[in-house]
Amino acid sequence: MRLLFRQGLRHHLRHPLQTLLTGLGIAAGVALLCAMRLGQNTAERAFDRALVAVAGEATHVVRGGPDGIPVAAYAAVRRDLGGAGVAPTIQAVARVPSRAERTVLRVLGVDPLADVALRPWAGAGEPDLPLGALLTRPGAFVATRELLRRLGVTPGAELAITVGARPFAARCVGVLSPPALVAAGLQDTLLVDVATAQEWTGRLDRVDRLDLRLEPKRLPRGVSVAAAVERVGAICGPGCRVETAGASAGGLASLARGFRVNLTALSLLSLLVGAFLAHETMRLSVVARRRSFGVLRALGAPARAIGAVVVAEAALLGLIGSACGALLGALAAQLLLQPIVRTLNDHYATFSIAAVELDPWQLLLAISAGVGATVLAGLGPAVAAARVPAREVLVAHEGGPARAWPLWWCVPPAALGAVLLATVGDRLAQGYLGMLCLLLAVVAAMPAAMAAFLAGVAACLRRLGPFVRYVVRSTAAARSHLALPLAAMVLAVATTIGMAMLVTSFRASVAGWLGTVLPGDIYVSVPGGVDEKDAPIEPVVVAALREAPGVAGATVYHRARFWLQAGSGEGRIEVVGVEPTPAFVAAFPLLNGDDEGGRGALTRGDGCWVSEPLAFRWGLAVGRSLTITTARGPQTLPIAAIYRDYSNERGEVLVGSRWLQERSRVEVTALGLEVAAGADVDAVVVALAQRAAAVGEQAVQVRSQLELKTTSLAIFDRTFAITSVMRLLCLVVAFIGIYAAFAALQLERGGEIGLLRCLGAVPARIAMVVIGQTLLLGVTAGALAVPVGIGVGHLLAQVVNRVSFGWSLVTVEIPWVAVGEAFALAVIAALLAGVQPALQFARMRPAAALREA
Amino acid sequence: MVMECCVAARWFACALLLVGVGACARREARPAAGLGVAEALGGAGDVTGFARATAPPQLQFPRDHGPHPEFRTEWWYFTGNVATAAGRRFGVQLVFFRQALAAAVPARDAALAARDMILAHAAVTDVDGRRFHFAERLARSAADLGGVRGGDGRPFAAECADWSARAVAGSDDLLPLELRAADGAFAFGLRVDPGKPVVLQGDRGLSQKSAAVGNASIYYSMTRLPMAGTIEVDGQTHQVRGEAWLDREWSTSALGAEQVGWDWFSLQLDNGEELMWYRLRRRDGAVDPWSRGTLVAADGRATRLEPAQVVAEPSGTWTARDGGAVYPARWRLRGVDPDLDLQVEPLLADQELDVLVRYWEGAVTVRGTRAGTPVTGRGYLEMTGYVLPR
Repeated sequence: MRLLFRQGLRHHLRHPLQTLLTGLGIAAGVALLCAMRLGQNTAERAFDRALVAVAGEATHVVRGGPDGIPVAAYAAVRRDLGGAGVAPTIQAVARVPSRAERTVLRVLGVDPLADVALRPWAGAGEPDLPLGALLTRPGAFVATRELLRRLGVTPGAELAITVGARPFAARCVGVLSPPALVAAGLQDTLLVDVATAQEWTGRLDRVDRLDLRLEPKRLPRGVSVAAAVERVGAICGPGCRVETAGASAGGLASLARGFRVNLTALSLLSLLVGAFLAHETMRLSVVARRRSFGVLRALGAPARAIGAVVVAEAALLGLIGSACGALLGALAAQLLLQPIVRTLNDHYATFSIAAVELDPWQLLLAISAGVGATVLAGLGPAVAAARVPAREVLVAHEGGPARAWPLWWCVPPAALGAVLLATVGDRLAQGYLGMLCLLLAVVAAMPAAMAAFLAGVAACLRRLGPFVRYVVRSTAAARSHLALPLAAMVLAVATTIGMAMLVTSFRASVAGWLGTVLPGDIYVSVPGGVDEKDAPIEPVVVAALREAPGVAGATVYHRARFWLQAGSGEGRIEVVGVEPTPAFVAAFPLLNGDDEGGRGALTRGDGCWVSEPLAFRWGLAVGRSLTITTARGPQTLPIAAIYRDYSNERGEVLVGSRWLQERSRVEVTALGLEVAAGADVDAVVVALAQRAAAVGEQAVQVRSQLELKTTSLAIFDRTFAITSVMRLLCLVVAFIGIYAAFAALQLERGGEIGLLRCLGAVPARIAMVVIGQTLLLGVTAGALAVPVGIGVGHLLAQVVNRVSFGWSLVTVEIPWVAVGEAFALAVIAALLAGVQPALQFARMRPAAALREA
Repeated sequence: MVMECCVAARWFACALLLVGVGACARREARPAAGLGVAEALGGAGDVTGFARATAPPQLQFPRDHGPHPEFRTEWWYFTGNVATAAGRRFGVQLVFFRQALAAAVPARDAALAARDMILAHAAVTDVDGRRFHFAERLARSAADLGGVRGGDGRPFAAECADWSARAVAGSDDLLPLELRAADGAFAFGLRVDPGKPVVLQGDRGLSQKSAAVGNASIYYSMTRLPMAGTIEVDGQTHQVRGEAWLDREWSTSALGAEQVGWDWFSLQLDNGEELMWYRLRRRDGAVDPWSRGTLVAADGRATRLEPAQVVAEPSGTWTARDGGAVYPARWRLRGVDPDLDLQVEPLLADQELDVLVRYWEGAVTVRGTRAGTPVTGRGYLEMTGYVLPR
């Protein structure tokens, strides 16, 4: 056994480049996986810890609609269930204007006198909590020592912040010292008294939610938990809902499910390419050692031991590569963290994180995946090694087993893939699995495809003489060996093409959509992230801007979250009330219900428009109905149309603003203004911004449609910047893989080359043969990758994208530049891969070369 | 049937922590609890802006039954011994503390903005059931969450979340009133009717607690008030009747730095007399010379008592379940003038309120002699400052 190991080691030491490349391939795959998982997990855990910290010991949560929960209802619930913990919260996002844009803070308004049972660290029993100052000084806050350090604030100091674009002077009155786990969830939180939160958010007579700790022993006698829930519901009114704390939390992972699965799938793909690479290396090392294996078998070594040694070699290689990869990944995660957090901020929730958490489980998981993939990749070669007959040493070399698998092998995976994709529903993982099956089918079809392609090439190049014919034919003859590395290369290149296609198509769709969904010339809103979309614009500002000179018309938007039920779903969803102008109605991108009835529904107030992602997730269609829980109780509206929306994957609903105002207290959250004919839009933007600043304290954002479109596309690009990074890394892994596989192949063919030398071929000619063959392989891979890549692109755009986010794309475009790049990459990688063997063979003495045979 | 009622706890919650015994109270409170309250309650800290008790007040009723927001701390302290017709005995406590969190606050728009917090403790001693139930409520004085009103023409009401002490409808005086509290295993609804008249404690209502000027409270009591209603424990409702004791006290600062706790007796003797005695303890364990008391005659006449007249001697110890505090197990009160020798025994050893501010407050029985004649009685005992440092 030891002998076998030493022999293996010697082989790998003698071929350091191959071994290094394989290690690199595995390392790159693992690094990518690791970086993604660490970055994502850090973000999710930070966010979820904040949720847990905020939720405290709550068993139930009462949420109001946009009206919140009236303070009187809070008092009534406490009077009714005094013994149970009943604590209010108000949450908001605060920004620190004096600091970098990323300083986003969360404001958590609590009642320390009610929090003793729910959030003891924020309750009156907490020794360090400056209760008196918190409750009686407007703007007083406490924060963890870590956050104060980051903000450069000491107790007693003031911090200028904005909440909903309105400026406030916050004053630090102490240090919050919760238990470590909670502290980790409060890394970006200013803890304030609920009254201060009321003043900062303008929700003067209400709170956002009530946290309840309903335990039988704390409830009045004879009142069950279910009865208490019912009583609370009755007190709080029809616009409120009582949910269990678990159901209410959700968490970032569930918010950003599509984002998460897609990143993980991309990382796994890179690992897959790495595994192909490992397979090639192991196979090559087995081929090179056939003789030795034969000798060992003849000397009595059991087949199983030989197989085990090869597997162990693979495991060792995988372990070293994976460990290096994990190390690299941990470094890369720090680089990827901010882009990931930024994307999550853009689309899901506002929070900030300073550093990556090196979760040992994630590192272990990535390393295990790396080792597992390498071992799996080594199984084939191990079986081959174990099957080397003992007589190998006694008889002439018969050449490696030529296993050109038949074309029909591609049928089962293709069929399975087709079934999986046809029944995908909203299961993203199944979508990826289906795609993987189809790609396996492509691998299975590779020998046949290659033969067909080379036959075509041979037909075209027939007249170019025997040398070219030799190159083509010898390549075609070796296709059983070449099929697998070629398939790996095709997959890698095709994936980069597919991803580029997805991004290009998606961007084109979004750009077109932005034009139709923003019909006004100027757009006014409260600046801020995704959590601040429902921040109200002060009424004085709204009035001043609507009446401003140069403004010909206005569309008013009221955005607020309501509890919705329809089709198969229910949840807290954004509802936007609009006062639709004719231009808005005419231009809005309706997918279904695009007729007189559908378009007029908002104006008439007898129907709603549902965004495509919501319709997809909840299985909604025009003609069905949707129930909105408003302050006046559940209200049912028919779905009059479904519209295209790329802004909110959770989905949203449009209703007429009059309809909404009659049922709920909603505030203006955005304004679309039409500029009078002949007026200069940019000049009006400047004038409006000045006017807004003159009438109120609130720093609203006034943007032209063009600027808004540019900003939106910039956010889009930022979101996909991370996929560009991924694509680049995939390309690097693919390049390494291709290089290693082809270099290995050429080395394997030493005997054939020796024969050529004996037949009189000069070194230059030999070099040309080798280069020619690899060039041909590169062209083959590139050419086969183009259709496969376009197919992958269609699947990504039309299946994965839809299942991930719920929206369909207006156009699917083939990114010819990216296709060209990918093709060039394949050819260049192949050429480079040919250089070393070409030089080596050219220098080889014919006799030595022949012995290789 | 005779019920005795006793004293009130007051200072404890108050002084101890509430009013700020400063470092010592802090040391004694459990590490994770109480100190926030101490801080909120002002600690030893800033008394600027608050009124101080420096001279005997001119009390008027019902005006002074209502809150005195110009002082930092104030309480309405009800304790009582009651029993069912069949003789099953209970002790009852319900207290509302008002604590100003700041002397003055700016006008604020928020509906939940508050200057005062209300803290309430309720307890039921189930003597036959050998169980002691207690609970605590905290609320800000805003938006009907809690607060105390009255004395200004409005009917009296002290409220904290679901607990209340409210003047019975139609009454513009404090009494009769109804006490309501419930939590988990206990609940009570008790009506308190007028009984013996108001007794002004200390010097015409000014109760000096330590040497510094202003370290005093305004303090009056109603030492024997008929009380009746229902007590519910462990799912069973009992009709009860007995006698209550009300202590009313308000102050801005009281204890001095050397005072670490006290033992407070409010005893109702079956000869018609009531005895209130508080024994302040110093850091070195000695009895503080500012300890005081009052003997109330059957006709309501009050006599002030000083340390030279009454000696309270502890004997034995009772250790809290978690070992966090050790209290005296029983007491003997002796005096020559007045001539008394009373054994004070808790009805249950464990009557400790393990709340944000931890203390012992419970129903006691009294047996002994008064002016040479055997006498019995009931009452309440409060012991503070016995929490062990951790």
